[in-house]
This record gives sequence, structure tokens and C-alpha cells, in this order.
Amino acid sequence: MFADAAYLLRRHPVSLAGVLLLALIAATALAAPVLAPASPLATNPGDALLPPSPRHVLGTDDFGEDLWSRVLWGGRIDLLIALGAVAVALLSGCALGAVAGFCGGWIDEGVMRTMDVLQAFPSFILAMGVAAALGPSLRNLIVSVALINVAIYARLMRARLLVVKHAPYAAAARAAGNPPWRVLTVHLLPNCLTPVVVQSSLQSGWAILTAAGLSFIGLGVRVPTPEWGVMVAMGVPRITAGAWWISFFPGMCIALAVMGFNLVGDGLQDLLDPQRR
Amino acid sequence: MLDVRDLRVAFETRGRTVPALHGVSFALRPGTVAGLVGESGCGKTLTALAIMRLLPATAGIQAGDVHLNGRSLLDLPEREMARVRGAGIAMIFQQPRASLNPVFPVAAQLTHVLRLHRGLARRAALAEAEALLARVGLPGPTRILRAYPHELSGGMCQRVMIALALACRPRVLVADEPTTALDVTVQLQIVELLRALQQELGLTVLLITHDLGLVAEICDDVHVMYAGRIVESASVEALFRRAAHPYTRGLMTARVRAGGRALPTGIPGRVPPLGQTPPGCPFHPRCHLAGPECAAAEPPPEVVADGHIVRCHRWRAGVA
Amino acid sequence: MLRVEGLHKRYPVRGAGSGRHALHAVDGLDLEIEAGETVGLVGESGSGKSTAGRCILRLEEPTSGLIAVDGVRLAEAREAELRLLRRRMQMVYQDPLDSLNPRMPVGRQIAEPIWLLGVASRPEAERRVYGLLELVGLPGEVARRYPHELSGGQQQRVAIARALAPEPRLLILDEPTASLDVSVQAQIVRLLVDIQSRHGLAYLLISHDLSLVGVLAHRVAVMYCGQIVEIGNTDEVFARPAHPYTQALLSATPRDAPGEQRSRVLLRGEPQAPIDPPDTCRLYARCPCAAPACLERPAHLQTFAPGRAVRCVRFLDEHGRGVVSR
Repeated sequence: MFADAAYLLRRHPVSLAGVLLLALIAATALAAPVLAPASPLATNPGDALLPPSPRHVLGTDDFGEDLWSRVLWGGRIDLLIALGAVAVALLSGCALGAVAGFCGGWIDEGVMRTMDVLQAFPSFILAMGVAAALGPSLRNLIVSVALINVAIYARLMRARLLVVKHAPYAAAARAAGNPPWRVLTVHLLPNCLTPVVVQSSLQSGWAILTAAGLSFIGLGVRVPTPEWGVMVAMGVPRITAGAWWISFFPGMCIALAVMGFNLVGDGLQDLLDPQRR
Repeated sequence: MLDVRDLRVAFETRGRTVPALHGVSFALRPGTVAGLVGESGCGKTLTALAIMRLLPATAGIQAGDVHLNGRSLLDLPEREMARVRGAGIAMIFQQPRASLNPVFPVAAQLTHVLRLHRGLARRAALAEAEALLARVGLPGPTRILRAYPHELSGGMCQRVMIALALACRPRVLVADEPTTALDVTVQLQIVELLRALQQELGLTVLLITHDLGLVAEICDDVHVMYAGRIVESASVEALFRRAAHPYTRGLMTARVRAGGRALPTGIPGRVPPLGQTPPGCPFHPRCHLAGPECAAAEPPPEVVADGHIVRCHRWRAGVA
Repeated sequence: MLRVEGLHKRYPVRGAGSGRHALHAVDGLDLEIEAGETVGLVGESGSGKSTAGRCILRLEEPTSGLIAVDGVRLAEAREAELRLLRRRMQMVYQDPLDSLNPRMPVGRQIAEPIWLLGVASRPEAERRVYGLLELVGLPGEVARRYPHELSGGQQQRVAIARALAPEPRLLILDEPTASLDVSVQAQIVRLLVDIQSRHGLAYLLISHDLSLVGVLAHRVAVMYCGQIVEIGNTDEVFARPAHPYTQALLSATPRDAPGEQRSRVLLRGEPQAPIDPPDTCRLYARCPCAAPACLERPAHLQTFAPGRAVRCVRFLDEHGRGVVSR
């Protein structure tokens, strides 16, 4: 496995860049309390709308909050949303897909038709609807971003399970006395995870984008919270006034994080799928 | 005819070079059937692909030469090689259905080859296609022409493949495990067909197989491969009467004999995986005759009798 | 010890035209296996031999039929009955790599049937793994390995150890050597013979390879299109095959040496899937000795000599009508 990873990173330096990028974002987000010169919520009306300078590296916003501090703290929230949403989607989606694929029959029909309904809406519209219905909060943002991805995991899991369900080792496991639930959880699930892992990395990027988008239009977290999407939204009215930095730096962070997840996802796909080598 | 000299092929994976063929040499006598025999991973299919210059992207020819009627194939530009693949050497594969294009009917695939390589007009090509299908023993060739590969059984697909291979009137036919994927009773039909075609058209055939029974059935000469080398070459009679290499003799005793109650003996151990070939004679860890010299140096080819060559330090000890 | 009566397995298929069609994969299989005996079930792909094996172990639910092990009839597939069945019978599959869970160390896979089928406690099961590995000729350290780290021969030995783990009385061997290299096949054949002689196991050997069946089986049953067409003592069937299909199969086995002469029975065409098959002879269209009389009566499996039965109208006519078997 380590040899594989080393090989991959040599052959795909872009993936290495993705890994480094994500590591950097995660490290700065974790170290925000140490690195940030000021509290992300400390307003200072006297310093409002200052351009980047040695004192405020990335400038300040309308309320004189230090953007560098806010960007650092924002990383925590955005990564939390991305990983939280992907985790929720992954666990529920995989469970649904696995049960549907394993049981078949009307359970399969019921689950998969529900997934069809979920996927019938454009995903961002669906997230908007759910977020609006639940009300803006961090938890609800995670739930709505997760919900639009559940169907993807459920489908992936079901498709994979339909393949491994007929593998001879599934029959052998039954012959060895495994009850059906044990065939599913002990023998089949571990053999279904590869595509799901790849997908989660790609989906994390999308989750950040969706979460930022929802916050941007006011359906995500509320205004003073240091979240990249909200920060971009706050800065938009000021761009015409020449204060480009308020939107630019959080926007940049979103782009970099999304890129990082996608590069890692591509690399994982290559690593785990020998056919693409 | 077809002359393979010191062919060396290696895989490039993960920045490492893993040799797979360590100098394979043999020659086909015109109008005969030669068997290239070995277990999975011994390099027999790789040899065929190298001859056809159809190696996968990860494999490359490091050294050696392949001559067809005195012309080196490895130096030919790709355009001319494409012509050789039709009219010089044709190949049929183990999985007949997978080697036919599923979206075109048989007629399209056959006439395409006939028009491209033999320059036949549309109508002539169709007539020739029908004649070819009849020639390979397919009942109702007009019906078959309109069929798609998935509508045909495995044996029918293999017959269509043979028709395709013969379309350009090749001199050499390379058949890679042509019967392995087929049912027993159908295997026999295909073997009989290959034998009949070979004699009628004077084809030179290189038959790649793991099945010594098939070799006994149809071959004139045999080359036994182990770990990317030819370890023994002989006429089929000589090989079955007096195999010199301990590996060949092991393969013979490993066979389950039809009609007999005797248990097969087999060879201890396993075929070495690619890249883990032991030094010296690659067979020595599994060989009951092995001595110190076997681990030290790779045995040179030695002549047992006229046309019978073996690569073994101790073959004399084994031949009683 | 194993008795199978009237085993049917039908699959619904969408055929040409209207109405319901069924693929009769196994069509009325009767079979008995005594303790310590090897019975070969021979046929080509699609003959129903593998489906029969899977139905006997209840990996697939038969459409109808009776399976009795040691006199105990297994009417329904209740969980308790299935466990009883699988303690007595286990299976070795064709492709050893496919039949082992790629993400579980092989030791755990060998231990599973012991404790899951209630033969011994889980810690005891894990201790027994080493004895089982030794029995199939593998070092104990193999227990910690994953299947892909082993060679094909070692994988099949592991699969055999797993099948032997719950101390069954019968092993169903589904093409146990077909995916192995020639030199390794012989090792596995010897291992199977050795285990049988030491433990008195019965084998149901499912294979397309007549040579293998000839070496291992005491009795042989030849299947064609879902039915047994000939059954009898292996030596007698091989020496004097009664059914044209058996003759064709035997003549298709490769020669032992060049120049060996052999009479050839060539069949026309290829087997058809038995969808809504007639009750007359199913080989008729391919048979080299088909006669009009063949289609006049249903073809039943009939005994014509002690221990031998054949499903061929022409043969039975020529050799005098026998007694209808079952």
C-alpha cells in the first residue's frame, strides 16, 4: 500500500500537489487559534475596509474584522461542513444502497425510487429547498449538503453490491454458515468500499462548493460566522467600491480546497483502479 | 519461414524493468504445426504478441529479431506491419467472442477485411465471405453473415474468427489457445477443422497451448517454455517418446491420463511469478535432478539428437 | 449417505413468442452417494451439473426435489436445517481466488465454518486452523495471509481446508482443478485422494474433464441438458459407453501420445439450452446415430445391466428393454 502510494505520487505529481494543498489547508485551519493575529469576530470600526498591508495581511472588511484571521477560522468551518456532510451522506447512502442491493425485491424498488426522486431535482435547488425549510444553522447546512449526495453513494454501493453478491466467495460464506446479515457486513461490505472512497474525496470538494453557495445566498450559516461563502457574499457589494480583497481571499480558499479534493480524488481513482494505469 | 531469434521482452512497471522473455529462439518449418507449450505465465502468449508486434503498452522488445521469409518484422514501419498481420501472419485468440466486434454483423467484419486487404469489390467480397464461412464448416453461411457475434455460440464465433484469419490468405497462422474456452465436444470439432485447413492450404501454424494432449493431437514440432525461456525443442514423437528436460517430463506425468487409474505425479512447488525467476536454471528449485551447477549458471542449449535441443545441465542423468 | 430424488431447478426466461418459458437447468436428477464413495458428475457447460451441486448444498433453492442426508430428509430450508446440512456437506469451488474473501486473512476464513456451524467454540476453531492447514500441506504462517498473496495451488488448498473444517461427510468438488496450472493440478488431485483415504469422505466430483473423473470417481453420471443420460461404474462406462453422448465425450479426450489411434464420435453443432425441452431425446439433433424411432417415445433413464442405466431409446431397443429405474 505504501509502495503503491509512493509510486502514485511519483507518477502523478499533481496528486501530490493535491495532498500537500489539503494538508496545508487542514494544518492552518487546525492551527487557527495560534496563527490568527486577532479573533475572527473582533470588530474594529476604525479599521474598516483597509486593503492588504503588513498589519492586516489580507486587509479588513466592513466591520474592521481582520480577514486573515477570518480566513483561517473559516477553514475550520468549511472543512467541518465538507467532512461532516460527506460522512453523513456516505454512511446513510451506503447503508441504504447495501440493504437495497442485498435484499432486492420491493425493498430495492422502494429505496431506489426514493433516490430517483432525490436525484430528479437539480442538486443545488434541492439543497436550497432543504436548507430553507430547516432554517439556517451549521447543522442544517451539513444535513442539506449531505442529502443531495445520499443518492450518489446509495447507487454506487448498490451497483457494487450487485456484483459482489454473486461472487463465489459470497456463496462460500453462506456455505460456511454465515447468516445473511453476516454475509453482508463481514464478507461483502469490505469489498465494496473502493469506489466509495474515491467518490468521497471528489464529493468533499463539491460539498464545500455547495455549502459556500448556500451561505452566499443566505441559506447557510449566519453572517458574522467566519465561513468562506458568507465572507464572499459580504464582500460582493464592496467590489465596485474597489475593495476586492474581501471577496477575493475567501473565494480563493474555496477554489484551492475544491481543487485539492479533486486532485486527491483523481489520484485515488488511479491508485485503486488498476485498469486506469 | 518464421524465424524467431533471441527474442527478449520486458515489462516496464512502476519504473522497474521486469524481464519476461529471456531470449526465445525457434523456427517454424513451412507447412508444419509447431506447438508452443507451457503453463500460465511462462511467456507463450507474450511471444506470439511480440511476433505480431501487438505487445501491450507496458511491454517492450529489448532485443532479438523476428524474420518472416527472410524479412525482419521488427524493423518494418507500422503500415507495412499492418499488411503483414493480414497476409503474412494471422492470429486467432482464446476468447473468440471477445475478439469479434459486437456492434457489426459478421458480414461487415469479413467484407471489411477482404476489401481492405485483397481489394475486392463489394459484391465479390460478399461472395468470398460466404465461401470462407462455408469453408470453416458453418452451416447456412448466408444466415451467419447477417448475424451479430452475440447471436452465435462460442464454437461458431471461433469458426468466424478462423474465417477472418484466413481471409487474407496468410502463410502463417498463430493460434493462441484456440479451444480452451470451448466445450469438450466443440473443441474436437475445432481441432479437426484446424487440421483439415492446415493440410489443405499448406499453412504453417504456431499453436500456443497448455494442453499436451492437444499437442499430441495436431503438432509436428514442440517447443516447451518455462519462465520466459524455451527449455526443450523437439519433434512431437521425440518429445513424447524421450523428453529430455525434467520439466517436460514433469508435465507429462502431471497429466491425468484418460482411461487410466494411475494418479498423476505433478511437479512440486509453483511456477515462479514474473520478476522472481531464480538465478541459474529457472527450474532448479523444483527439479529433482538439480545440483550445484544448476543454481550457478543458466544451462546452454545442448543437442540431444538431430532437431532435439534441451537446456538442462543434467539431462543425461534423467534420460534412462 | 446422500440421496437426491427428483431434483428440479427451473429458471423463468423470456422466450420467443408469448407465454411463460422455463429453462430446465436441472430436470429430474436422482443420485445416491455412499459413504467414502466418489461419484463423478460429468457434462459440458450448461449441462446443469454445477447448478445441481449448488442446489444440493442449498446455495440455490431447488424448484422441487428431495435431499436426504444420512436418512434425514431436508424438506424446508430453515436455518437450523441448513446448518445441519452444511455440517455434513461442504463445497470446493472452481476458481479458488474467487471463492475466498479477498479482504479477510485465510485463517479466519477457515475458522468460520467451525464456529458458525456450531462444531466448536470460536477460540477452539482458531486453534484448529493450524491442524487443517497442515492437513492440506500448508505451513501455519499462511493463516495470516490474504488470498492474493498465495499461489493458485495454495489458494485451492486453503479452500479445501475451509471445506474440511466442519468435518463434513461429503465434499462437493466443483471443477476443483480446472483453473490451476497443469503441474499444480496433479498436486491437488493427489491431496484429494489422500484426504479421502484417510478420512473416509465421500466426494461428488463435478467436472467436464473425463480424464480426471476416470482417475478419481468410482461411479460416473453423465449429464446432458439438465438430465443424467448415463450412469454406472466408472470403469465399465469408460470401457463400454452406452450413450452416444458419453461416446462422444470419451472420444474427445485428448490423446496420451502422438500417433495413438482412437475412434472418433463427432457430434454436430453445439448444445442448446434446455428451454421448455421435449420429453424425447435431447441429443437427437446432434446425435450421429439418431433414428426416427428416437422421437417416438419419451427417453427415460433405464437400467440395462446391474448398476448401469442409460437414457437412449435406440440403445435400449437394441439391448432389450430394461426395467424402468425409479
